Amino acid sequence: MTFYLVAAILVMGLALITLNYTTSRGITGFASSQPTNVSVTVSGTNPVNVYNISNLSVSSFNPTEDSVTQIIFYVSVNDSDGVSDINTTSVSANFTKVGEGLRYNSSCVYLANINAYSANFSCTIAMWYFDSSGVWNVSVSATDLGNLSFRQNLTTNFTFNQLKAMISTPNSLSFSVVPGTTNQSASNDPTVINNTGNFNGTVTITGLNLYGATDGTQKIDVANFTVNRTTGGECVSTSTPLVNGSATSIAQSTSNRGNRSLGGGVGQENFYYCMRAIPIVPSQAYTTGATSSWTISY
Amino acid sequence: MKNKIILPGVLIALMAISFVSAFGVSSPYWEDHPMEAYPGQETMISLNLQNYAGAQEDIVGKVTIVEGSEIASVKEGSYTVSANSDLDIPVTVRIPSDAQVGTRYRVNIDVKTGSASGSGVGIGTGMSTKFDVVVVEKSPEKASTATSKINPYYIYITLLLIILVVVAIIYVRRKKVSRFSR
Repeated sequence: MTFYLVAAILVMGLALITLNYTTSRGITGFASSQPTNVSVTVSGTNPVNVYNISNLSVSSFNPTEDSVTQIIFYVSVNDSDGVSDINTTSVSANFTKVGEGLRYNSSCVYLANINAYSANFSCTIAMWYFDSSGVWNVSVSATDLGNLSFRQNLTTNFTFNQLKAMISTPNSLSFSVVPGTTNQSASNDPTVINNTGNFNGTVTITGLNLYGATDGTQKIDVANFTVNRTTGGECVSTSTPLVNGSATSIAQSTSNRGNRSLGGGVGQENFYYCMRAIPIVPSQAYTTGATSSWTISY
Repeated sequence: MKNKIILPGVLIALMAISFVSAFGVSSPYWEDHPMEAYPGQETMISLNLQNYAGAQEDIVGKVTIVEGSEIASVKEGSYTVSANSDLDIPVTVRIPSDAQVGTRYRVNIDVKTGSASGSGVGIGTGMSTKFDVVVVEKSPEKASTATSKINPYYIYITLLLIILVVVAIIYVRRKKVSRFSR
């Protein structure tokens, strides 16, 4: 309401002044003269403005397993001094999230002019498979040719989705054991779990009882097997016993999100297996069956 | 004579080592990133099954809904994902129209791959996509009123124009009156 009153008073005042001025002028016989305002516009004094960052806030993006996801978006830049005052090689963009590495493109590509004052640019930024899921902030900047002013737009963000992914090797375990003995380790462990996504959390293993390949009525309970993430720890009391058909969290395990190319175990987890007590059962191969398997999960 | 248990043979183990099992599932919602929906809302999301990371063979992912079937539905069964490709699996989430605001539903969808060896103690991989669906009030934006689409600046300009016209009329009339009075 106050706004309307103030606006109305201003408009009324201006209208009265204008009407009074125009009606009071007359012909005097003297050469007419009056002060004239002269304004000089120097091109390039106004800064650029980054606006209309498209394709991002309305979308979420999936990471790509063990690789990069190229995120392409478009930005518009205008300059009231004219499009020619925009430094078309200056437009850059970056994505940030607390605790994460900077993802950036230092040279967005000029596409075309929108009109005499605005131009369109395309930016592409690669997000890695290990980049954290959640909301990432977007910054787009551009500079002006005239006064070299730098302007940023920080108003946009986007969601990078969660990717649970892994490469595990080998795909089977071998034990060669003697009934009645104890604490026998697998002959081909560890199972190496490479985290090829961005999930950070514990690892579970769903074990299944093993049945005789020849005599299917004979079984070895999966509760005889324990798992540990460190070698030599698989047969100790702190190792994790498996439960038939149930996802069991492995103690102290982590999916260990990270850039695997750094080496040193980043993005990796190992599992070692032990048969704590080998039951007295007939000699034959015992398996999970042709269609079943233990499952390592996130 | 001692009985010797042979759990999968050496040959099987060697075959398995040569095979790389790469598998992933991407989801727009997860445990710390719940979905919000209002009573009566029906939404479709996608789980993205991936078989990249130098995959040499197709994989078969078995999809089952473990939790949340009262609001979420997905076509359970086996999906083949070709090597170096991905596949979107649609999941429909329907919130009952009588659901109370603040209700939290848990959805858990498992996708498992079997062991490639087909025998022995096979080691497969699995991904549990778990997320919450929180029932919220239907936002006024979604209720969409016609007035919300009118730009307020147009209202201001219209009002100013009306005021200007009224002021001009009053001024002209006063001028006429003062001319006659002279």
